[in-house]
Formats: sequence, structure tokens, C-alpha cells
Amino acid sequence: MTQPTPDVIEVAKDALYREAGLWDEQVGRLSDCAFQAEHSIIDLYDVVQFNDFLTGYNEVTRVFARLCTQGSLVTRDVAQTLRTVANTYEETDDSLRAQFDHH
Amino acid sequence: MAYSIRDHIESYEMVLARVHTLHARLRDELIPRVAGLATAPLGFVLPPIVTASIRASLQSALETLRYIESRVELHLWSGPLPIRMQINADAWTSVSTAASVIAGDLRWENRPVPARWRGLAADTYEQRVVPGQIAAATQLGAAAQAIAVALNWVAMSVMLFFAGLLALLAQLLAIGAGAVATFASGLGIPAALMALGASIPMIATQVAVLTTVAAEGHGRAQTFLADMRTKVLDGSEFPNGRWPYPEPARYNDATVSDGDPSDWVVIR
Repeated sequence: MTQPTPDVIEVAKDALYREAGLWDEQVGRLSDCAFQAEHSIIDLYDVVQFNDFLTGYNEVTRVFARLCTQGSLVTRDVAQTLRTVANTYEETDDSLRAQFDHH
Repeated sequence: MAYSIRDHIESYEMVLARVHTLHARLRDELIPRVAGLATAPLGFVLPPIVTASIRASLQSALETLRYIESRVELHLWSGPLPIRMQINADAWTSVSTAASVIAGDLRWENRPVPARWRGLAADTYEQRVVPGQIAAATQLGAAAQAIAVALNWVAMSVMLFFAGLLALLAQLLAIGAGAVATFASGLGIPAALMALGASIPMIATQVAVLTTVAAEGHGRAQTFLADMRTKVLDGSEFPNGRWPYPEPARYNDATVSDGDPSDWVVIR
């Protein structure tokens, strides 16, 4: 079975790097969402009817912010994993090429 | 021209300022004047039974006015709340849009990897990792939208409450001021007593009805709250209340030196 040509490998590695960049963009977006949620807590007012609604709302908002923060960390991991895969492939590719050139 | 959230808030702020003003007039002008009439000597001679009846009517009107005043003061505490809620609702809508963009960006057709890679790890990445993240982002968007809807709904119900309260206060002050002036002049006392004795309790009833409607609005807000909770705490998209975590070990093997071929294979 023939190996993919170097330019095909190059394009494939570039796809991994670009896709890692795409995940990085989502890290930023999720961090923004977490920030927005954290700043959407409404201090309890001394109101007759809406304090329990606000208590529930604030609780949901905190959970939401926490999920977004976790999401940003997970997407960062995904981006990092894709870069690791691309780097590993690149190193392997370089190593194989060096062996080929040597022979 | 589009009616922006700022226009909406400015309109509401005007309503709220007017309610504050009318409440102050009720507390500082009308109530003291009715209290004065209820205790000061009548400027004319009437049979004692009639005088007692007039005083009882004035006292009753005074109590009703004080009830209305105290209710309005209580509600005024929540006056600024809808403004904050509307601003936050707008922010939540932006968050929902951002979450939708995330889900959209991660779709198969918008990513370069699916067209270039195959193999065990690539398949795991495509079939397990990415869909879980898209589902989580989609759920996040739905939750943010539910929160925005809930806040908007509660804000609108409070705003409508104050608009209704403003109309009732304006009516109350007009009736009250007219009745006090008529009464003080000593002419048309029956008409003045009718206004104070019948119209004011009617307005008090309307204030109570308005409060009941607001309370029902609060009940509906609880339903929205349950919906928010359901979406944010969705166990299928957020297992154990956490963002789904794809183990990198399931799709990070690109080595060829570990005895098996790379789990990422280039599509030729």
C-alpha cells in the first residue's frame, strides 16, 4: 500500500491545526458566556413577590456560568489534543522522511 | 423605527417616576388633608348624628387611603427590578446567540478535519467527541434563551403592573383632591362624601386586584423558573451536572511506534 504524498499529509496536518484553531475560538466564546453569566446575577431586592424567583434565577445563572467555564476548559483540551496529534504526526513524518533520505 | 430596549426602559422609567411623584402627593398632600378634615371641627352646624356619620366616612376614607399608600410604597421597592431584568434578558439573548454560533461552527461541514482524516481515533472524534460538544452548546443556547424569556416575561408583568398602578393613582388623586376641595367649601358635602366613601374604596379594590394579577404573574414566573432549571440541569447533555468531557486518550493516538498503526489515518 502506498503512503500518502507529502503534500496530502501537509494538507491533512494543516486541517488538524486549523481545526484546533476553530476550537480555540469556542474557548473564547464560552469564556465570554461564563463572564456574561457571572455578571448577570441579580442582587436580591427587598420585594414582596419576586425574591424566590430571583433566588432560583441566580442559582441557575451560577450553574450556567460554571458549565460555560467547564466548557471552555474542555474545548481548550480538544484543541490541545488535536495539536498534539498533528505534532506527533509531523514528528513521525519527519522521522520517516529522514530515514528515507538516509537510505 | 425599531423600538429598542433603551426606548422601552426609558418609557418605563417615566412611568415609575410618575408613580413615585403621585405616591408622594398621596402620602404628603391628600392623606394629611383628609386626616385634617376627619379631625378638625366642621365649619358648619349639623345634627350630631350627621356629624358623626360624616366623621366616620372621612375616617374610613382615610384608612383606605393609608392602605393604598402602604401598598404602593411596598411595590415601589420592586420598581427598578424590571429594568435590570430587561438588560439581563438582552444579555442572555446574546449568550444564546453565541452558544448557537459555537454549535454551528462545530458542525461537520464547517470543520476541515472530516475531509482529511479517518481511522479509529478520527472516528471516535467525529462520532463521540464533537457531537457531545455540539449538543452541550445547543443545550446551553436553549437554556440561555429560556432564561431570557423568563426575565422578559417577569419584567413585562411588573412594568404592566406599574402602568396600571399609575392610572389608578392618577384617578385616586383627582377624585380625592376634588372631594376634599368640595368638602372644605361646605358645598356639596354629600357628593364629596360619595367620592370619598365609594370611589376611593373602589380604587383600593382595583389596587388589590392589580396586586393579585401581579401575584399570578409570579406564579407563572415559577413555571419559567422550572423550565430554566430543566434546560440548564439537563442530565443527558450535562451528565452529573457537568460539561461533557471527552477523554483525550480516546482520540489522541497518532503514533506509529506503539506497535499498531496510527489511529489517525490520512485520507488520500
